Amino acid sequence: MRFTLSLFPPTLTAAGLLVLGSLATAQADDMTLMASGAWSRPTASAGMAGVVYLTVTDSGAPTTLVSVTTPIAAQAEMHQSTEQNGMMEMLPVKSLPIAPGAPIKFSPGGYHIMLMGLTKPLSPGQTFPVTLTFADGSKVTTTVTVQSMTSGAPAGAMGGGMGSMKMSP
Amino acid sequence: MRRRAKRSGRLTALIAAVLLLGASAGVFALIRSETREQVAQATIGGPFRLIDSQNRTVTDQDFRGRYLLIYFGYTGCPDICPTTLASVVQALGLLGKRAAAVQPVFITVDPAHDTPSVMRSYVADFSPRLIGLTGTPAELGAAEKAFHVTVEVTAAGINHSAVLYLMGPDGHFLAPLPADSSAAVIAKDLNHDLT
Repeated sequence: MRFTLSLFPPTLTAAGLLVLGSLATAQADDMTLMASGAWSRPTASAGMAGVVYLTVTDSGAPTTLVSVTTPIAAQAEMHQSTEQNGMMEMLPVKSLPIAPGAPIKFSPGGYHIMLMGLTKPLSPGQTFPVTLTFADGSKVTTTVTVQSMTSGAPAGAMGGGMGSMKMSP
Repeated sequence: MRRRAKRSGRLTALIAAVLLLGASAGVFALIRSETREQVAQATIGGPFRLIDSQNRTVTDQDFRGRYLLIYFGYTGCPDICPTTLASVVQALGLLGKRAAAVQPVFITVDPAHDTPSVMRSYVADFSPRLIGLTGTPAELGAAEKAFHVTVEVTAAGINHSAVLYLMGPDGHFLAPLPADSSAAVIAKDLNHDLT
């Protein structure tokens, strides 16, 4: 042990302790917001809007999801598909509240994240990151996987699945 | 005593009359609504003349002998349209051999963007069996009118009626299905309607 430690420059050790420290305080305020089951669909051509579905859970203080960003699209917006007298409409959503026991579910036919100005069309198997920003300043980044058009949500997209680390603001 | 009896008799008659009137009105309304629905059903669909993804002219006549499952949408629709079309394709998968009798058709309400080649790439993502139709604004407008499809272009996107239309092999309208039906529900309805 002494032999290994002596090889570490002091800065690395300090960084290591910091990581351990933040993991230790995970139950206190970090890792309370988690995104899981993020998936998307292919787009047939450039210029077409993309979609992202995922679930966000909060095991800490209630807050509000206020924006979504991704490096692969110029804009990402939250929308809600609603039916009014047999007409399907898409309403922009500015923010969504989240609290323990009240997760946010982006899923087909309901809330969804719309991607506009995609740098390239999306194809099945592709992965890309999206970052969710909350009113309290915290951010969650998760990896989205593009499914084939007819395969629908991947297993584990409905709750559960792999969670993502919350990055400290 | 006689007066009392007369009064209660009139009251009973009045109550009976009101009840009868109410019942009649209710039944009348029901009949009227059924008739209205029947009339509406009878006028859904009709001739159309559109273009497929190979730039070939396609009319409703070309589909006689097959059931048609028609959905109006646009390729830029990120959520509802892909969800519906995916459910349709999955439903046909659930039907097994009977699916061969059903032709799924996607008709665009956005001719400006959804050219034949755009439609070709789009439908290919769902199934080689899915036919995508586009056309001139006039041709599509006529089809939208025939199928009672309302289209509203907004800054956020195109709002549109979201219904799956099941047409019979003779070209007549059979049944509507809500676009947000699951694949299982669509398959069940198709199984029921296919003879």
